[in-house]
Amino acid sequence: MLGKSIFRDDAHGKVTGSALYPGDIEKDHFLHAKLLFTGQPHARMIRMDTAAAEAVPGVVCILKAEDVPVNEHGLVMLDQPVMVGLNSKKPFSDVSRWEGDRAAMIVAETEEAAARARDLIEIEWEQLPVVTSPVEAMRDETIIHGEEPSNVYKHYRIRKGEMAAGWAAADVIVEETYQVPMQEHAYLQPEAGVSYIDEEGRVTVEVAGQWTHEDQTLIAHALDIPKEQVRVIYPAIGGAFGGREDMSVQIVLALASQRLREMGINRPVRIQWTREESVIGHHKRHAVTIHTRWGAAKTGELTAIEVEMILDAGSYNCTSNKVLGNAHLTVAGPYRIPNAHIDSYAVYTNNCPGGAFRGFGAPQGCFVAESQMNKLAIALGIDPVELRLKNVLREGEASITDTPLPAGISIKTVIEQCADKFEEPFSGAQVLPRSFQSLPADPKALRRGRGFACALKNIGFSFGFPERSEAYVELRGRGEIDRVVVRHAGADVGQGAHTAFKQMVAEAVGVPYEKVEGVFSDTAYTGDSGSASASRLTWMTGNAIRGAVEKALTLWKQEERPAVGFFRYQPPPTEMLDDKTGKSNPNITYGYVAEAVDVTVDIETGHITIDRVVCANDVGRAVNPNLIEGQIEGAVVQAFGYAVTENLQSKNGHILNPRFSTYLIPGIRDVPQKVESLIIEEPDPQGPWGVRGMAEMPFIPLAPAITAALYDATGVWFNELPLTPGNVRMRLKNTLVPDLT
Amino acid sequence: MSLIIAQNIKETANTNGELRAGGTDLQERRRSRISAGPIIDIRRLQGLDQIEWQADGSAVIGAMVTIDAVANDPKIQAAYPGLAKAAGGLATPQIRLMGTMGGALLQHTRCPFYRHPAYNCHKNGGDECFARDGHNPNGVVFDLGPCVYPHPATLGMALLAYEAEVDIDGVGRRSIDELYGDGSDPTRDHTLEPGQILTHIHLLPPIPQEKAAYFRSISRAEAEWPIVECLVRLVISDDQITFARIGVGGVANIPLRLENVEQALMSQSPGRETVEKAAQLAAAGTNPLPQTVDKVRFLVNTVWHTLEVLSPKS
Amino acid sequence: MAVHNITFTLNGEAEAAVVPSHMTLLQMLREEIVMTGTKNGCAAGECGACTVLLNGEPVNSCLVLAVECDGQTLVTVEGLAHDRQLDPLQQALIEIGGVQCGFCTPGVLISARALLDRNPHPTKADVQAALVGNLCRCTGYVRIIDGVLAAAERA
Repeated sequence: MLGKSIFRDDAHGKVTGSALYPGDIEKDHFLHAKLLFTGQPHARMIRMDTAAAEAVPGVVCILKAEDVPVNEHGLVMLDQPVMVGLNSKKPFSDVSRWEGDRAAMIVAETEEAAARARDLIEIEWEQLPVVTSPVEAMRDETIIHGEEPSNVYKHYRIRKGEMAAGWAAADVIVEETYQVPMQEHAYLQPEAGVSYIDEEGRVTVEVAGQWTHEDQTLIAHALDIPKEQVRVIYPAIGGAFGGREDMSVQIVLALASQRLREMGINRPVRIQWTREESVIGHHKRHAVTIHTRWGAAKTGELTAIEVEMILDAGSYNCTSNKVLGNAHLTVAGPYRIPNAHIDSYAVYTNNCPGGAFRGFGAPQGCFVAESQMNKLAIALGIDPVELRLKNVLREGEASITDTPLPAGISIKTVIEQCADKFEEPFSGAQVLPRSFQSLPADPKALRRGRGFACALKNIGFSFGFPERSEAYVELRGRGEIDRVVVRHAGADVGQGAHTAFKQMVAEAVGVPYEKVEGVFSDTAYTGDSGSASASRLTWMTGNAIRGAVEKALTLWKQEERPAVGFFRYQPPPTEMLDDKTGKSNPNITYGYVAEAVDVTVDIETGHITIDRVVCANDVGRAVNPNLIEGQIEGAVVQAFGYAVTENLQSKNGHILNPRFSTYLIPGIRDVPQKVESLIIEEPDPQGPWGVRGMAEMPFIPLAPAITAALYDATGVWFNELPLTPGNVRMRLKNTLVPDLT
Repeated sequence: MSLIIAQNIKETANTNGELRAGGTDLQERRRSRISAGPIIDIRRLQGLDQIEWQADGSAVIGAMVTIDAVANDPKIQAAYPGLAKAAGGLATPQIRLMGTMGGALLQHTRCPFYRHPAYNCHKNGGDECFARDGHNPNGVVFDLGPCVYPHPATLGMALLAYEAEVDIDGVGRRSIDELYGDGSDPTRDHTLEPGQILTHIHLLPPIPQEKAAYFRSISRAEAEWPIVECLVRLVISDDQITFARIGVGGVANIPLRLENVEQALMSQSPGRETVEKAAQLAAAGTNPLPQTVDKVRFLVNTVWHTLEVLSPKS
Repeated sequence: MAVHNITFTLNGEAEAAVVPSHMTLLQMLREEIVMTGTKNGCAAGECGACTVLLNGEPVNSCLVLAVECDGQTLVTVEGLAHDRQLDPLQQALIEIGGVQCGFCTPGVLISARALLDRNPHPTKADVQAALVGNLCRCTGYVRIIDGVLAAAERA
């Protein structure tokens, strides 16, 4: 059953319109809710008057900060109020630190009544200084979280080897500053959900998220009720990419249902965000500024790196410390670096919070590492592929944390395979003898270039997080197994996870795919799966399924009918970085990827098009090749958006372009002319059937491969993203490209 | 071709209501609550959804004709190729099918500050232009008045290059120049008063040998407001340019015609040198904002590129 | 608030609805008729998830008023399959992998249907031109394009 491109189970419902997303769920006698965002990047609430709003006909209740039993949430630190307002038991809850902070939840008979009431809520604010620059925030003149001593709430270090010796051994040093921007997830389905009290009295929320049991935990915490009294169900999910990791409508919906129960009203509540609410109201990929120096010997060996990285965490810690950790490690790339000195800071500002987004710190880190490698290659006169092969980590060698990477390092394979594939002729283009030199330039304004980059990314949660995944597998039948039911919480955010789960169950049990049924993503029936993120879901779930199937088969042999196996998979524990040196075993395992691109740039207009992408991605073992190729193609185009078209603009903490006509995700005519996916299967020793996580990896190296190709085309390096036509033009002009006035 | 529109429609519009044609702009402003009064749907007004051809070969386009109909009408494509190309190059297929010619001309600015609830700009009852200060690369390079966000009407620019005129019901004929004014009044996107209705667009008789090109400089392949756009109409006869009209958009708070570039092309041979020299003149008279200094060159390049499409020798 | 009695043909069946003046076609489909296959991705005509056929033409239903549909003919994603037989476009997207999260899929299918109705043998460029108003964040579009081309070939 593995290695087959089984059609995904949910596709039929999605093409016929019968699949239900959170905003599609119909219940009798719905009430409608609206959230009031504060719209205040930094201000203290002085007064809030809801009298006029409450008098609007049809308004049922208005929930405020004082109504939240435990007014806090957050995935790693409970630093975010459920609502900003007065009389909250949680200190400092009267301060809005983000324009997307919530001030009130209005529940009414109709959406119109809720909206009208929302308009009538009067709030008086005392303006506080709005801090939007992380560098300014680091001076701590304005403290954004009153309870904290500093805006810098996380600082990681790497101290490895002897820096003086490293620089002394360097024949070439490349020193640069890089700036990478925020990115909006722009999943097509804006946040929505419904909540009600289920038949067993549980506060039940149907919503699109990435981890049912974490939603459940955070709802229970805020409502101050036991977890068992909260139920979370995920219907069809319209994309996630990390953007649904944090709480959007989960807690407020549950709070509304709890309040309605207290009022004796047994009616479900629904909420639907607009696109603008979605863009303003959830976190973004982190903007990061990185200053770095890399040294290498004439022969190509890296001798030392020094990095200072400042990550704009925005107003709350939406996993910023973890993203920082990943960026902190991936900034060294998959390379053997004997001497390193790295300081990375996560800093609170009044910007939109930074948070999880496909790659989770690795796109930022790898952009720096790969740009540095490409520059060193030029400075040393060594082919960029050769330079990488000289420096990549091998089994048993000390990585940046001074410990070996887990066994199964395939970076060399992906680099070689990607480079080999790229050598093949493509649609008549002249292919030069060694990989990454210029294609023939257009006589006029079009210049063509080639670029290469590679990356590694951890699979699963790191730094000591207690990773786990639970699965139930039930074997039914009498003499033979007629039917297999798998119960698992893992979220199918669109990647096709549930289809892959069932394939793995069929493989483990040894039955045809058609005999497997799934019960997914409902805390009432499934165990904790962990999150659909960090390229971990197939990997962890596969291990859980294997364990559960093994137990079920044992019971089956003992004539138990049905035979139900439960297994809680726990991977080997990981470690937090050592405070002073960073020495640790921080990650469970890794995925490896390399990409090569052909790019055309119009030096007059600054327009960039990608002619060809070759992506070599080690997936360990392909469970469903079609789904994997879909992940690669989707990641490449999303990364093209990150590198080229997407430009989130903000002013004084307000996002200015929260819509699709001004925040430009790639359209169907922006895609590369050709995306070639090379699925490499070098097994991960710890992965189920050798499977590796893969869905983030193809995103990561694209941006530095594009900037390398741009250098190849124009002789100019680009250290800042996005590469919008205006930015490209300006940079080309400022660096005085010949024959460009 | 006049049309007397019920007085009560005009009065409602005059108080706090808004007229609705295709609705593609209005519906967006309704939900962001920039427009909140009653709507008067004029989509079904009789007689405005036709392209009529006059005895002299010229077209009169009703205000309710869709953008798609103009883009795909074979007679328009033959008679006014630049107009058809500009109409086919804007927005998305769905928007072109709903959006009307009248609505396209009279849409409100796409400035993010105008459409942001936290800002009250000149067009929203305030007295400031927030786009002036800061880092918005979409600003103007011809600074004509307090509002410095470019006018969004691609078709306004196209019709300016075609020297078209419009009928305003009960008021009379106006040139496109008059429709948009000189850009000095920051509270307006056009010069119509509330309740006034644009009913028809009158084109001049077509010029049989005309060649036209339209180029929209944007950062995505399609479906974006122009950074710079340019429409060129040329007649080349015996290796001489005998007629030239150049419209540009995205560079001022009104659509513009570049008459100096047109003059530089006249009577010249349409070779590389002519095109290059004429295109440089697009920069004349620009007074960019600090953040749009580089956009002047972008304007020149866009004009150059559009001219090159039509210039047989370059 | 004025309400209007309207009648129209929806997916081949006669329908009637009572709609307020300001209600959009998208709201009518999703909230009045409770047919939720047509998705609300932006309500501003910018994503294409709500695309339906109005008299055979693909339009953003979020920008059309319900009253404008009086006497008109509408087709939504629910109307593409006939007698439980999927439209070749639906079948091709399933098989080729043009569906991931699926939220853009109804709009994509409608725009593609309009294309094939008008041009049964499109080129890749035709497909791209027809779908430029339909954003997708998951697939990278590759398998959407391939799916539409395959459906055209099979039909």
